[in-house]
Amino acid sequence: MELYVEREPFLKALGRIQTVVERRNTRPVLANARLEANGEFLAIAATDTEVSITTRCPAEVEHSGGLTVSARKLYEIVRELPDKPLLLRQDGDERLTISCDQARFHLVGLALDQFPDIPEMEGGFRFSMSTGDLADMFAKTHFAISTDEGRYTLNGVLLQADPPKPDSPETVARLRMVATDTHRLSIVENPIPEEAGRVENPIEAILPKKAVQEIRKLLEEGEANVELTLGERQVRFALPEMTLIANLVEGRFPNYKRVIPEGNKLLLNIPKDPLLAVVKRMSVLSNEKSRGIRMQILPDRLKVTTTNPEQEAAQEEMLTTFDGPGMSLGFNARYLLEILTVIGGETIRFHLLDEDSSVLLTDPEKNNFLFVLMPMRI
Amino acid sequence: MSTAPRIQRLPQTLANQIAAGEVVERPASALKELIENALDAGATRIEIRIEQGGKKLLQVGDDGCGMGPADARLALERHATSKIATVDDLFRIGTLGFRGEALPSIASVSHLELTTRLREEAVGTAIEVKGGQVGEPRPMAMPPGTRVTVRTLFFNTPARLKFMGSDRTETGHCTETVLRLALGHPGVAFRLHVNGRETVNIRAGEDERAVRERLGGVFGGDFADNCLEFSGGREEVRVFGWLGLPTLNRGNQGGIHLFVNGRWVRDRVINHAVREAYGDTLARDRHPVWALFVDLEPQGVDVNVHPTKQEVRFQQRNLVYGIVRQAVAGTLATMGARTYQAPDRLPDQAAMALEPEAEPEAAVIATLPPAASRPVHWDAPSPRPPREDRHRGDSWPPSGTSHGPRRVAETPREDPVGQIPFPDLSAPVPPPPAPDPPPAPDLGQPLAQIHGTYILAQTATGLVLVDQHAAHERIVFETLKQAHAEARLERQLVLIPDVVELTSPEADRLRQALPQLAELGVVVEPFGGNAFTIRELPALIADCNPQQLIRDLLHDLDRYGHSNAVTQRLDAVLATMACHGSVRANRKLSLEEMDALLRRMEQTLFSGQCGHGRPTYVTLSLAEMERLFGRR
Ligand SMILES: Nc1ncnc2c1ncn2[C@@H]1O[C@H](COP(=O)(O)OP(=O)(O)OP(=O)(O)O)[C@@H](O)[C@H]1O
Ligand SMILES: [Mg+2]
Ligand SMILES: [Zn+2]
Repeated sequence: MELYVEREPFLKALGRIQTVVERRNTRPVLANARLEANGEFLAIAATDTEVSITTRCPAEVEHSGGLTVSARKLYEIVRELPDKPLLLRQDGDERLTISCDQARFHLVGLALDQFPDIPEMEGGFRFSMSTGDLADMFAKTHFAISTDEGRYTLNGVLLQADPPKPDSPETVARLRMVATDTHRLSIVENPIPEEAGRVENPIEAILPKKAVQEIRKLLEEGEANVELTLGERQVRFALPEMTLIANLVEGRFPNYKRVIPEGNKLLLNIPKDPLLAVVKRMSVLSNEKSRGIRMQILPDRLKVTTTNPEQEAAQEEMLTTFDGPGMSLGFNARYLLEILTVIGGETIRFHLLDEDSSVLLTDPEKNNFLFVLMPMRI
Repeated sequence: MSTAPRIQRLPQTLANQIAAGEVVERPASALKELIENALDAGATRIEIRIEQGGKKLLQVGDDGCGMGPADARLALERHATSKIATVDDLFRIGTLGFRGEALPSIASVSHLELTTRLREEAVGTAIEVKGGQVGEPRPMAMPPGTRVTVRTLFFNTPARLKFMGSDRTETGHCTETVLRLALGHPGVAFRLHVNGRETVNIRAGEDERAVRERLGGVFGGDFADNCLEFSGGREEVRVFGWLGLPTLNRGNQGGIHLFVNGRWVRDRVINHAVREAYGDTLARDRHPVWALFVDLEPQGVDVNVHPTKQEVRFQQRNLVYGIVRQAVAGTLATMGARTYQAPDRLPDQAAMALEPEAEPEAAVIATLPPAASRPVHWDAPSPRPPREDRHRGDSWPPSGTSHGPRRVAETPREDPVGQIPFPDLSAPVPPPPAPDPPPAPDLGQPLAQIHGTYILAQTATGLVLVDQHAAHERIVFETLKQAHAEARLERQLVLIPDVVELTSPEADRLRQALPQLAELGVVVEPFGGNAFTIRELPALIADCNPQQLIRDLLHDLDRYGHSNAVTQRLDAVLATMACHGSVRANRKLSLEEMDALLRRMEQTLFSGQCGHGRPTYVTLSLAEMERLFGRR
């Protein structure tokens, strides 16, 4: 392999694969990026065998070929180089020389055939979606993923594609994302564009946490559309310059529909940004780890209070109106903050039943998402 | 077809040999039986001789009650005992022996000579037994008491002989046996001769020196200076003993000595109770060093559960567990900042030269080489425990702890077991008396910070070197623990509860534990059959895996009848918070900051150890410095 690349696009491509690479891995080749001359491009790939990303940057290819070298060193070298064209030349199966301006680097990697195969997706349900919508869906769910590794089916986001209900006026299928850590639940959904065709049977796929993190990063690049393929074992997200393929978590996601409260008739609308600010302020003096704050709901106002084991306390009031009986609920401030941060609208609506039951949180102006939050006894 | 019966009565000698296999495993176990007989006979002095690890000779002489000629013969027959007479007696055993098995068993595998004289008789009796053949009693002039001489043990059981260790090993075991029994019986003097040389000489007595001698024998010379004496419990169950400072820990359970009514036994329930009380002052895989005496009415404990009488079964396991745990925890709370203090000089009981193999594994984590090869050591000039307190007249032995036949007389024999009121299990364990505030250690004035990691301070008697991170971490941890103990318990309700399926004994155990769990913030509800759901968790550990928590809990409940799975997890969270919240190594500290740290250490419980049981500071005394420079 011998080729010229521009530093800027090369660095960007290397940036996309950095976090997939496992630093601490028993298989040295997994710390490497696969480089391969491919027509007008330099193809770059990295994998941890569960999540793989392939990307590319334009190149002037003199000789074809390829090898694998340390993804981290390559990235750090290119990052520090001046903005001048780079010459990558392969010597034998494992050596790569990078020349740029007056600088020269000799890297020793591993041969191409050492690199694990990146799976190709076959079949699956394929459709395109706006990058913004998809990013918003991940933003509204990712924080609720469970960190308890013992519950592996909760260590990811559930992706569901349901056909339209037979008796509903809707004609398009919906893509839904769900995440829960058993204390709270996030659900968000969006229509799947009509051209995608019919979803015959409901599709379910649990996307592991690491894949969620990677895809969120890739979606930030601001492309208009993503092509999604939901398969039996894998999912693929394809953008013009890169593709991510992830193995799905095996197992069944719990039946989350059961825990969406239906009888929570007492409604409390609170201006979102002011509430966010209050909760942030109050949480400074909450228990550093358990983060308990109390919301006392009165007919004409909301009183937010907290104390910590050091016997410090804080309190703040907001004007609100509430038709139900006065009640007082404890919450983990972190859970509230995470929800408040991702709600786009002006208002957050609390749907309440009583002090010990789950609370439903929605945006009155948008009906495509909801949060269920279990209170805390404090 | 033959009609000859295939089952035959075993000849008496063979039956004894089979019993011997269980009772007498090695010379030390024979020695244990002989010394226990002497103790049961009310001896005040016991003279022991062994040769070649006890394989050639084991001799135990006592000044106890002795036996008449007829009893002496009977004593050598199986199931002949003076100690119990009825089945009921079996359930209130106040003596160490009760089966009438030891002497005939030993006699069946050795050449045994029994000489004994009743105090009121003018002459004694001698009987010889060779491989189980009991000879005729003959008169013999001797002082009152009994002497049993066992020669060529296992001469007729070559297989067993093969399993004997070297002379040194067996001597080690015998010595350990003597020291252990001595610790359990402070009113009795013990002397041991090994191959003609006196190696142990322990006076009878309960004065401080005698106590130190006994503790030193079992634990090594540095124990007495590095332990806390304690006593507690209530009328029906009294506990007392000595607890090694957490820094004096070991990798195995060799430093654990439990005496139940004077009998040395192993008991994992009590071990667990003590270990739990030490809690995080020790790393998980380390064991504390302690001697603990539990005294209770003989009816409360079944001693007839183990072939060599090394285990017992408490009728009220939970009660005993609670009492031990509270007493130990309460005592440890008084410890303040004391850490391991290496001996200044060799223990003055140098006469008690232990065989090297019997020497307890030195596991002092103060990164010190063994005492003998150590030219200079850093140690902790910690305050002595309140001495006035150490030997309250009643503390050792507590009233009513004299063992032996006299004890039996205290319990009227006619009392049927059922009528003896025994404390009710549900009765709450009274809280331990508020511990005396520990005397504050003097950590001196800070002089400098060394390598950004240690604080060097000068005290009235020498130097102190403090590990700043470890010390600060302990302070923060204790503060957090206290704050959380006093604060309301925040609980997170669970939206999607886990369901755990249990076996029915597990389910029963869990059902019983539900109220205590709820108090700790873990709300578990029955979910039909043997399934349970976890509804609420303490907010601090809301992210833990509840299934795992329940499994750990059941495991502990099964093995020990108690569990700390919840508190342990809470403490682990606090410990991590403490670690993150404390000054790191390599942070520059001003003199004021150092001073503040030292002053807070002086006021913090357990500040002598970090959360992993390592010392947070060491000291070097002026005397040591002088020695270092050859001034002394
Ligand atoms: N040193 C001694 N002084 C006085 N009596 C003794 C002595 N050793 C043994 N005896 C008597 O001999 C009896 C038999 O002793 P042996 O050790 O065989 O049985 P035990 O002590 O009753 O029960 P165990 O088998 O549990 O030890 C004792 O019950 C006691 O009466
Ligand atoms: Mg006996
Ligand atoms: Zn730490």
